[in-house]
Amino acid sequence: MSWSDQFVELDKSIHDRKSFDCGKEELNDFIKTKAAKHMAAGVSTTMVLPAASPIPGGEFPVCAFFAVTPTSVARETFDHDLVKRLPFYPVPVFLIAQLAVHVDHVGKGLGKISLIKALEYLWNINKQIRAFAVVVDCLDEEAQAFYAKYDFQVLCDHNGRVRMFLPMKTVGQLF
Amino acid sequence: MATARLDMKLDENIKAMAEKAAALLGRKSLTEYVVGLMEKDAKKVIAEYESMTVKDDIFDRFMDACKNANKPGQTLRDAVTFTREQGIK
Repeated sequence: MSWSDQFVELDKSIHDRKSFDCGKEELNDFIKTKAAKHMAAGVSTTMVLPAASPIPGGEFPVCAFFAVTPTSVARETFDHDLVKRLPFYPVPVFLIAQLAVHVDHVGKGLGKISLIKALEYLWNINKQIRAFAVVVDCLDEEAQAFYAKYDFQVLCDHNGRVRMFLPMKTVGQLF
Repeated sequence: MATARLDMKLDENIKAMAEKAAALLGRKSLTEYVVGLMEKDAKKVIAEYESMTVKDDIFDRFMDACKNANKPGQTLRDAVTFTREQGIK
């Protein structure tokens, strides 16, 4: 099963979500039960890389996906002078809320492809809606090591997970 | 205010308990109680999702790192090249 040549918005009438398995229950559950609802409610946008050919029934399996959403970072103590100098406060950032690759495609570089496409997608949005950084929540140490390899720095712990960021100025030098 | 309807099925014990709670709080109706709860909780859930507050030193370091951003490293730049070579649009 090879993948197609483009990430597209998740469409539950076209994309088969049931067959997705990345080996992590939380991410499997997201694509199967939450992604479409989150899109409909305006919570996050999920982009999928469908397989090149459909399964019997006509739907396309998902080889990889990422979900993104705008969010913001605020300072515990409001600093009036600092905030005056900022164009926006709380500081807008983009969150890569989910990113996963089907187990059938592990080891082919699809993780880094998905990350680069997610960064490119957010860089294009950034031309219209400015953000200071791209932020990710790491599900586990494996995820943290993955993002660290691509220049993400630790921001803080957030709900028991390590949250990392990559400045938008760095992203801008890639595309 | 435009209004909408929400019909819901629920366990009768929960309904009885909620009616008692609504009475204790002096709500005019079970509806008023439930709607109040929903509004409060929905605001909280959305706020937690849409923003995060970090300690002052973390915020200041974050802003500094964003302003004086590092150049992308070799691994990251190689990943961009690899993605282009794979022809994924």
